[in-house]
Amino acid sequence: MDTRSTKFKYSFFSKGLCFILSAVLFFSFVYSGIIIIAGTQVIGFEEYLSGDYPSFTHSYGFESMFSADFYYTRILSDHAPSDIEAAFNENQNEIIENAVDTYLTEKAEIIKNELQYAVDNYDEAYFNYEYTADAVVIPQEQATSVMDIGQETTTTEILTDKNGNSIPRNIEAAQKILQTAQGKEFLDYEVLVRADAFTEGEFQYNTEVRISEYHTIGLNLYNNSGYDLDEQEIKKVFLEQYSSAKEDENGSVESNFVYAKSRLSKLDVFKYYVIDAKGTVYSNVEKDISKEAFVTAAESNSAYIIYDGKNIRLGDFAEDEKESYTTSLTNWPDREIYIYIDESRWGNTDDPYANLYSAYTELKTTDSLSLLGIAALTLIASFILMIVFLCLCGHKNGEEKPVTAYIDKLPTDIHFILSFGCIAGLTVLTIWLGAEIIASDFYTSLFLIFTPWILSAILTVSYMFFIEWLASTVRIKKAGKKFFKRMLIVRAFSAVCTGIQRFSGKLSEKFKYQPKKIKKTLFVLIGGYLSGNIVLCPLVALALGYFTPIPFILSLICFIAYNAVCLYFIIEYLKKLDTIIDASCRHIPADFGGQKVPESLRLLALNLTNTNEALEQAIAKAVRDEQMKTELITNVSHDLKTPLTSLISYSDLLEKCDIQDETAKKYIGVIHTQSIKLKRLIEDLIEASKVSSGNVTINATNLNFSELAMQAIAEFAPEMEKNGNEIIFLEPETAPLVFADGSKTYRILSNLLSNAKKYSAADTRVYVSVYSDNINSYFEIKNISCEQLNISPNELTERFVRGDKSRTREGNGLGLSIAKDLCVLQNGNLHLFIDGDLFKAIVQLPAVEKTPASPVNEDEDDSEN
Amino acid sequence: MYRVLVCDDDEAILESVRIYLKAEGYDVLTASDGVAALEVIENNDIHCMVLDIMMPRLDGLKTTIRIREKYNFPIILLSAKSEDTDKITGLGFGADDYVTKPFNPLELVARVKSQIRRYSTLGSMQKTENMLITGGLTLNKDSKEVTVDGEPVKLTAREYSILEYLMSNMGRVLSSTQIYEAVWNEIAFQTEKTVTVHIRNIREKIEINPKEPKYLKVVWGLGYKIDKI
Repeated sequence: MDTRSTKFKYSFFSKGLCFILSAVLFFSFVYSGIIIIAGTQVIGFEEYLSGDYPSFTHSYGFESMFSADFYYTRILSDHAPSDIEAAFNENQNEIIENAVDTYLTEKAEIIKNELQYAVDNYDEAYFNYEYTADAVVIPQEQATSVMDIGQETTTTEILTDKNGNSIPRNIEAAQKILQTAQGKEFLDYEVLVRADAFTEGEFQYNTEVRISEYHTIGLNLYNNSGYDLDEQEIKKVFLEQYSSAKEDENGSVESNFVYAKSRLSKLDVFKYYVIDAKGTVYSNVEKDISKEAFVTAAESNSAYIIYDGKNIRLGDFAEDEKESYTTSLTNWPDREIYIYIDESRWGNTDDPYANLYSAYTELKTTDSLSLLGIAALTLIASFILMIVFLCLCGHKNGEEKPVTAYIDKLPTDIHFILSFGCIAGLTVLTIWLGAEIIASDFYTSLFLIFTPWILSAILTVSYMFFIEWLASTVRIKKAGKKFFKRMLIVRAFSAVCTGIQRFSGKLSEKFKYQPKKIKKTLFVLIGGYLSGNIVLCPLVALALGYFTPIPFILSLICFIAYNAVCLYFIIEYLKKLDTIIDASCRHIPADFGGQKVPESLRLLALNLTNTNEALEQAIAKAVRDEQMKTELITNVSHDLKTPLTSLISYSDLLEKCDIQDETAKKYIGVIHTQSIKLKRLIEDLIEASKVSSGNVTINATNLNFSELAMQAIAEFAPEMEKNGNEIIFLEPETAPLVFADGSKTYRILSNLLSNAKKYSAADTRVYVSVYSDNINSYFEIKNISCEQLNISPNELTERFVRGDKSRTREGNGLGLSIAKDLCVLQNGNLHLFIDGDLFKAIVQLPAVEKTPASPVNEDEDDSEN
Repeated sequence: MYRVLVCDDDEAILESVRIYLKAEGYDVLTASDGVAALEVIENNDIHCMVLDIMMPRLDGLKTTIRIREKYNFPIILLSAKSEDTDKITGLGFGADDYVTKPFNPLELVARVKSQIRRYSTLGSMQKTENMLITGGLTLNKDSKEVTVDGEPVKLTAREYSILEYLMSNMGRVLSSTQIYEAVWNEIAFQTEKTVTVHIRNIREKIEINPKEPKYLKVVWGLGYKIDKI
C-alpha cells in the first residue's frame, strides 16, 4: 500500500477539497438553474427550453408586464374617486329602506312562526299537571308570553302592546292573531314571543351600489345579534354600516387610482395617453403633445394600442394577446386609450421595460440547452464529490479506525434539528426572496446581476449544512457508534433507565440468590410500574385540573385499572408463593395446576421438592442405618456371647485346677477378670445401641422418686462402703413424684451410682438428693473424683468417653451415654457439671405426665402416614 | 443320682457345663440339638434339663413344647438374648428358669441344683396351714423357718418379719413406708432406707442371683413384692 497516497487521501486538504468542490459545483448548478428559471420567466417556458426564442413583444415577460400596465391605464380612464361618494349618497335612502324592510319582514315571519309553534304544540293535558307547592306557576292570564304559558317563572308583569292595548295571553288569542294578522302586522305581537327567538341567527343583507353603468360595488348590511332590534335601531345600524362602507370603498378605489397613476408615471419606455369620460387627460408624455402626434409616434414603434372609444388598432402582439386587449377595450366605452413602447428609450436603466429588454437580449444569447446540460452535470459532479467526501470523512491519518469529529458529540437529534432547521430556513428564505423578486421588481437590472448569485450562495450554504450533517451521520456510523444512542431523547431516556437500573441494582444487592437476575426483574417491575403511573398520574391530574369529567373518569379508570392489574400480579405471585409454602409444610411437591409460574418461584418450588426428597431419603437412610447398626451390634453381641460363655466357664475351671505355677495362676486370673469385663461391655453395648436408637419401650407411670432413689442406693451402698465411700441421702420431706418408667429410671440412677462407685476418691462422701419443682423432679448426685477430670461435661455423655483418658479403670464409658439417652427418651435430661474434682450429675424427669414430644414418637407418626 | 440333660449346639459350652455339673455330682447327658435331646429323653430318666434356645433343626422353645407334652421335669433355658419378651415366652411355654449367656457357671449350677431340689422334694414336703409358699420358697409361721428349695435360710428377726409381711401380701406391691410401718409398727419418717437395706440382705440370702431376683422383686419407684409362682 502506498502510504503517501493514503496519507494524502485522508488528509484534511483532500477532504476539504472535496467538500469545497462539491459546494462550488452545487453553486454552479443552482446558478445555472436560476438562470434557466429566469429564462423561462422572461422568454416563456416552452420557448426558452425549446430554444425557439420569440421577439421581445411576444415574450412571456413582456406580455405579463404589458398587460398589467394596460390594466392600470384602464383604472386611470375609469372614474375619479369623487364619483364614488356621489353614487353612494345618491343610492343611500333606497338601499337602507330596502334593507330595513327586508329585516322587518323576516322578523315578522319569526313572530308568526313562534306563535304557530306555540299553537301547534299546545296541549290541554299540560295544564292539568299538579304542581308542587314550591313551584310558582304562572297561570295563563299572567304569562309573559305565549311560550311562557305553563312554564315555571316568577315574573308577573302585565303586558300591553305598543299602542297601550292589553294583549291577551292565551292560546286562543294566539290562534286569533294567526288567522287575522298579515305580514308586518305580526310585529305588533313581538311581546308575546320569547326573546331568545330573535337572537337565533344573523341578519344578512347583500346588495350593491351602482357607481356607473359599468361599475358596481358590493355591499353587505348585517346585524350580528339577529332580529332583536326595532325599526329605528336597525336603521341606525345600517346607516352606520353604509357610511363606513362608503368610506372604505372610496379609499380603496382612490388607492387603486393613486397606485395606477404612480406606477404609470414611473414608466419611461411604456408611453400612454388616456382620456376619461369627462375629458381628463392622463399621460406620461409632455403635456403639450397633441393626441395626433402621440398616435403618430405610437405607430412608428412596433408595439402599440390605439383606441379612440370606437376603433381599435393594435401593434405587433401575439394573437391571443391581441384578442384579449380587443375584448377588454370593447367593454370600456366613453374613453380613449393610446399606448406604445418607445423603443428609443431602451437604454434607460431605471425603466422596468428597458431592464426586461436587456434581460431578454442577454438571455436570448445564452444557450438554454447547454445551460441545462451544465446544470445536470454540475449536480451529478457535486453529488459524486459529496459521496467521495463522505467516503473519506471519519478517516484520519494516524488513526487506524474511523473516528468521530468534535461536532459529532452533539446529540444526533439536536444536530439533525439544527442542520435541517438551517436548511429549511435558508430554503424558505430563497423561495421567499425569489418569489418577492418575481412579484415585485423582478425586471430590475439588479436581478440578473445579483439575484442568481445571492440565491445560489444561500442554497449552497444550506447544501453545505446538509453535507455536514450527512458526514456527521456517516462518521458516527463508521466509528461504530450508535446513531440512536446518541440522540438527546434516547440519552435522556437511558439516563432515567440507568437511574432505575442503579436503584434496582442497589436493591438487588440485598438479594442473595441470583442478584443479577433479580436486578433485571426489579428493573422491569420498577420501570414498568413507574412509567405506567408517570403517564397516568399527570393525565388524571390534568383532567381534574381542567375539570373535564369524561376524560377525568376515563383516565381515573385507566389509573385504577393499571394499579389493580399490578396489584393482581403481586397477589398472584403471593398466591403461588403460598402454594409453595403450603406444599413445603405438607412435604409434597408444589402443584400449580398447570399455571405459568415465575422463574424464581418455580426454582424455589423445585429446590424445596428436591430438599424434601433428599431429606426423606436421608431420614429413611438414617433410620435404615440405625436399624442396621442396632441389628449388627445385637447380632455381633450374640455371636460374641457364645464364645464368651465358654471363656468365662473355662477360665473359671482353670482357676480351680491344681496349678502350681503362680505366674500361670495370675494369668488365668487376668483372663477371668477380663472376660467378665468383656461380658459387661457387651451387655452395655447392646443397651446403649438400643437406647440411642430409641428402640426401647417406655412404660411410664407415676413413681415415688424418693423411693426409687433409696432402692437404687440400697443396691450400691454395701459395695461403696467397701471403698470407704459413704452415701449421704438427703431425703425430701414430701416425696417427689416422677412420671417415668421404673426400670429405665433405675437404670439411669444405677449408672450414676455405679459411676460414683468407680470414680470416687477413697474415703469420700457421695451426696444424693431428690427434689422437685412441680414441673420436674430431680435426682442429684455429687462425688469427688479420684482423678483429675480433664474433660467437658458434654464429652462425658459421648459413647466410650471416660473421665480417665488412660482407660485403665473399671468401666467402659457407656454408662453416662445410656443414662442421658434414657433421660431424653422419658422427656427429661441429664445435666453434668464438673467443678474441679467435684462431679455433679442431675437427672431431670417430668414430675407430671407430659404430652410426648420426643422425635422418636414423631417419626412413628410419620411412618404411619 | 440325679440325671441332667444339657443341650446346646456349641461343643465348648456343652463340655464346660458338663464339667461343672459333674463336679456337683450329677449324671450329665448331652445333646447337640433338640431332636437329639428328645431322643435322649425317650431313652433315659431325666431329672433336669439345660436347654439352649438358638439351635439348629429344632430350637429350644419348640423342644420345650414337645417335652412338656409328656414330661414335667424342670427345664432351664439358655439364651444369648436378654430381652424380657424372650424370657416370658420361654417361661410361658413351660420352662422353669432362664439363664442368659454369657452366664456365670456357678449360677447355672446353683439354678440346676435349686430346680432338682424342688422337683425332688416337692411331693414329700408337708404343707401346713401356717406355711407360705411360692416356688421353692417356703415360710413356716409356726417354726419361723424359711427354706429355699428345701434348704433352710438363716434370717434375722427383722428380715423374717419383712419376708413374712411380703409373703402374706403375695402379689401386692408394698412400699418401704408400708413395710416399715407394718414391721416396725411405728410411723415412718425418713427411715425407709433401713427397709431397703434389709430387703437387700433378704435377697442375698434367698436368691441365687440377687441382681436378678426370682422371688423378692423390686418394683422400682414403688416398692417390693413377692409373686406367687
